[in-house]
Amino acid sequence: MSLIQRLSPARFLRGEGPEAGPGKLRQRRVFILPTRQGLLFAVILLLMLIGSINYDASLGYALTFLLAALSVVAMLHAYRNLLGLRVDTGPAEPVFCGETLRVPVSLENPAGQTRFAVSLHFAEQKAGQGRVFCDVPADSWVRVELPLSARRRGRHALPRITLATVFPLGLFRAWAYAEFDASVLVYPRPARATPLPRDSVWQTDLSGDGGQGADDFAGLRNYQPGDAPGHVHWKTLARGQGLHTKQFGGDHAEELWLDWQATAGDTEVRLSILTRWVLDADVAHYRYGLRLPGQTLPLAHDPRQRCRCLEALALFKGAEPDIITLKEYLG
Amino acid sequence: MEHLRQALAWRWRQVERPQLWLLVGLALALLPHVGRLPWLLILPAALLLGWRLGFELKLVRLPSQMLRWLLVGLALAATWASYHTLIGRQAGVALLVIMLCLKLMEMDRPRDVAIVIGLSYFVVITVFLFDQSLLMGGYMLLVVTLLTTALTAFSRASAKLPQRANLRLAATLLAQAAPLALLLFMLFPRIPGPLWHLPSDGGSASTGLSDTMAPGNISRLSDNGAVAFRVRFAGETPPQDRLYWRGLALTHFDGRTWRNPNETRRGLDVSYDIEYTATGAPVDYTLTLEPHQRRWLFALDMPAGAPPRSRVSEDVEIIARDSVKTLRQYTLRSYTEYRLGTGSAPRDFAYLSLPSGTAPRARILARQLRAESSDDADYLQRVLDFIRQQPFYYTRRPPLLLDDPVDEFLFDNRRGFCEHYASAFTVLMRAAGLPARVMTGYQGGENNPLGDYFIVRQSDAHAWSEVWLRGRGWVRVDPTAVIPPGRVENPADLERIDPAYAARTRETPDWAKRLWRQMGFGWDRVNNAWNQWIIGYDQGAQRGFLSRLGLEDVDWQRMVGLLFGGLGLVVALIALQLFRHRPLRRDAVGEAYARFCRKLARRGLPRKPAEGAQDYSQRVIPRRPELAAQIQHITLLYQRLRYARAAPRDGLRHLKQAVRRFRP
Amino acid sequence: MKSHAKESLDALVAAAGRIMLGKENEIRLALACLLARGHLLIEDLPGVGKTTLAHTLARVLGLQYQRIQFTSDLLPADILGVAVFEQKSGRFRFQPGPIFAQLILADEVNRATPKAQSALLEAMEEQQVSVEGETRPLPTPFFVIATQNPASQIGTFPLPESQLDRFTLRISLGYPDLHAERELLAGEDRRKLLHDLSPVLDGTQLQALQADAGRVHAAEALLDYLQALLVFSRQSPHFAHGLSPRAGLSLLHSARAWALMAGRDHVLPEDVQTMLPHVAGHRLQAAEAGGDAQRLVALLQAVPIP
Repeated sequence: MSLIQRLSPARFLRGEGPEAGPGKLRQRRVFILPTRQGLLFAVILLLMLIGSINYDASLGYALTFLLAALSVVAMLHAYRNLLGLRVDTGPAEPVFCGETLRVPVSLENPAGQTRFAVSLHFAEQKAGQGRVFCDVPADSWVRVELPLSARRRGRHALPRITLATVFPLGLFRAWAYAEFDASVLVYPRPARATPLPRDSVWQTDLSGDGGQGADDFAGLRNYQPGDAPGHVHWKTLARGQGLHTKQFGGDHAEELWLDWQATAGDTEVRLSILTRWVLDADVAHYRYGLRLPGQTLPLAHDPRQRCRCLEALALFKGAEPDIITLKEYLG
Repeated sequence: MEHLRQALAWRWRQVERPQLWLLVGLALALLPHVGRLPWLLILPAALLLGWRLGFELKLVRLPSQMLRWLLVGLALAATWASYHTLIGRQAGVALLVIMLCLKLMEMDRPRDVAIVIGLSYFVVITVFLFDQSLLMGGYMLLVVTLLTTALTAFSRASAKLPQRANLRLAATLLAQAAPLALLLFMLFPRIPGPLWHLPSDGGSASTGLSDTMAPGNISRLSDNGAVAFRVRFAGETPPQDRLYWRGLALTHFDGRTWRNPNETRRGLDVSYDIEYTATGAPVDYTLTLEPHQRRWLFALDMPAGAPPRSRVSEDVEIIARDSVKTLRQYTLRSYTEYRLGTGSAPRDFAYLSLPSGTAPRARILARQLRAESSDDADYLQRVLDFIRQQPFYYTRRPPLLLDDPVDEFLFDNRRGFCEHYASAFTVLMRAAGLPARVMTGYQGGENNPLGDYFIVRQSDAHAWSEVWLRGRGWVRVDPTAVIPPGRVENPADLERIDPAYAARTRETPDWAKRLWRQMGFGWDRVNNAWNQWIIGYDQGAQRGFLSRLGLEDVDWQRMVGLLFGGLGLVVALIALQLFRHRPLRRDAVGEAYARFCRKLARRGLPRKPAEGAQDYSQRVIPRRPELAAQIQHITLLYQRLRYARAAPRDGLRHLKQAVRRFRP
Repeated sequence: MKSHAKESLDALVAAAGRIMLGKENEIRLALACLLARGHLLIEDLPGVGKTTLAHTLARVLGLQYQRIQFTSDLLPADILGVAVFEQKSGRFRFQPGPIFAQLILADEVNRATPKAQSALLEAMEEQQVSVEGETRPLPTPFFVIATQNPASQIGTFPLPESQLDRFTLRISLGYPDLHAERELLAGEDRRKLLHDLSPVLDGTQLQALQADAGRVHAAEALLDYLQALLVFSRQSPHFAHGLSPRAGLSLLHSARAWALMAGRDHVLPEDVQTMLPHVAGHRLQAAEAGGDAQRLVALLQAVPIP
């Protein structure tokens, strides 16, 4: 890196470019400036110096110099408190728009001394919002979850993370940026309860889904008061093994198409409704598929189906321009 | 009762510790001001501190905005009532203290806390304006540590940490800052003198000799063991009976009190040339004067000049430009044998004037004795004989003199301290037409055998006379010295009268007293060093220090360069110590194996951190088949030592040896 | 003793290798699992020889062998056994289920209902079954090989995370290489070969080997490494859930067995690294929704050895 690059104000603002894997805060990436308290302290020091000169108080000089030296040492300590920390982030569990993402971030301290009161927050977040403080003991790890409010659906580049510390005296603030080549996924906000499209095609499937029903014998369970007499397994009672109830597997493996055409309103409203349907269909153990303009997800019911559908909804059309990296954001 | 105790204990645990550090630190910082500041301000300050503590204990609420403003107004009024000003040293300090305590009433934001802690540091410095002793310095270091602990505690209030860790951290930071501070202290260019004229303080109490002398003035000091000044002679120490430390000349007498006219002629900043002939060898010495809040300086009789920022008056007093508020150190040359003012008789009638109607009996005595004498010198001798022969006693507790102190002393009581003798003698001289004046100062001093310097205490305060004789000029006459030892009440005063006699009669005290004395000397020596090196470190001392380092005539640019160079160096050293990579502690086996890996790494075959020894050897051997045997040997040894149940005998030694011999 | 153990184990592997062509490593892994007194999960497509592997192992080790085909209508009683009322004696007599054998092949375990699955898994964990209020111990050694078909998702009940954690190792067999495949095609019928296979060990010898495996030394330095792996999995943001303490034990035990098979009396970090993908893979797969278990295992394998 040339000196010009190294000193460019853009670098100062943005930090280094995105990187994959653990980021180590190297010497050139930690910035340090006095805090407001630090400036106040400097003013008081100046007054103390003037007082010492005026009254020719040698101990006054000594105290002034001791405090000045103390602030220099504090600056070094603040710098060291961040230096060499390794930062890493992992995938955040997708959330719905309006909720808060919890981005897992780990801090690794490979050095032999504890890092105290390191604060982490997303650089874009307003001051004091979503700030997490932690101490990282020597030669160990700390894992924190950084809150990030999900304001728009889609896949977003993970914003820059600011690590900062005012340790040990609050006179200087050392900070560094960690930027990652990672993204977070925000699903559309689910609409309020909207009945599932009952007019969609219903079919039965012979394999069943294991839900409770009245068709296939599934096993025995202990009798509970209120079970239908027709379901009591009398044979076991005859063997003297107590009352058992026959269990039957359900067979209503309805198939459900969640169709864009079945909704009305603008894009976001429609996506919200579809999101609500996906959630309801998943809970109700339906086999369901999703039809979006230009995209169809086939019928399925497995844990992945929900994710697939929600992701498709999150990334749908209008979602494309939402992929804004911070670079574009800053021009 | 038990219930209350428990409730209080519970509340105590709720107190946020950072606040506590601050409150304790601030209270201790304010403590030295108690007694210096008026109770009208100290009491409210203590009350406000208590209020804050009560708030932290959740016992009381903080005052409202309205009440706070009201309190500010009251504080201003109280300060004004005490000093009739809001500026100046005393009033300024008082105002700072009370306002700082008021600030405690609103201290929620980090900024408020920073202000309070910063100003608390400032309170520490205000204490130094009054007292810079070693003890105070040590005490304030403790206070500074507490305040710094408060800073650290606030800065990581988010993280819960044991408070002892905060204290340790603060102490560590201060220790690391110390070398840097020392460098700044030594090399920061010292600017002499005040930046602006200091507003005079009415309230600051002076110690030691005053500018007037009335009966009882000096005897009051006779029990005061405080140090007045310390002297280090460059060469031989003059004999004890020549150690007259000249202070102020008192020329105006009103029948009871002697006064110095110069105090009223302050504007006259003219330095007189001293016309005298030295008849003996010069005495060079450095005098370190404790602050006494007065303008005059002391010098061995008779000074050859005045130190910087001071002048010599007509009566050969050394008057400083400003009153001595901090420790002052100066180097002087004096001649103990001299002739002063041998030319014409002093023109000033002040040396002859006596208030009319005072001391009638003394005047009669003077006339009578003068008539019997052949000349002035003979008369002087006859007066001294009179004191020696009549039953005059030397006492620290002279009887009260009511109407005419001189006559009552000379003819009725005949018991007095040096001021009585000096006063009466000077009156007798003037009554016979001899120009005379009273000199006040110190006499003698105590040699500190541990430090080779003289300690002059307030108890050494003395008064004597100077008489002008034709042909001989101003002659120093100490009427006290003629009293026979048998008529000295207090044995301690014998030293002043007759040092040789005192040395003879002084019984060797028991060992405890001796030890105590030795300890006293030791402690004084430490104080002296403190004064010399810390308190007295001014521009001159700085120059001297630098020249001792071989840096002569350093101008301020070079000084700043030196300062910044040194600062950079020290900061770099501290940073080096802080940022030094501390590798994780490895055992001997791991260390030996790491060495093996480093050797291979230098040949371009580094071990990956997650690579086991086995895998590593298998990767390396095909690349360096000629080393196969050695590598296998080392790997096997290492694995055995590190992972096997029982380590092979001498395994570590073998491993180290094999690694040492391994040269890829 | 150890070299003796290595010899007999090598002989075992060689014997089984004659049936399972080109699958020596998988046989060793399966053996390690058995020596660690754990249970094995094989995840692979049908027809790659899962059943053969189980059967072969049973033959060479001289173990009683039972195969249970899991289907959606399989009931716990089909696995554990039922009490049958005997007219003659007028009492209930316990008819043991197929689980009362030394080596169980639970084929396509994800086809059965969770109820049936849990019956098996509880038996695995406890080494005993409770039927009709009576506890019956299972034979020793007791070794379960469960198979799962990852491709088919329809109508299956994938084992939940908590159940997967009970399997010490997971392996997959994969297709045979060209050479092995040709031999397979040209050679004799495997089933006949299998029939002719004679046991290399008996039950007591196997138990002695299991005891040997338990005695393999794990030094402090090795435990440090093991803990570093576990801590990493719990602290790194890439992992939604860390490895369980049981996973740590599985890793240690299987690494011990692996060291024994290599003829060593102590565990090396390499042993741990060898077992790591098989111990951690299925556990992480289950924990990470849509996560890439292989990437996570790679991250674990990059943890420095202290």
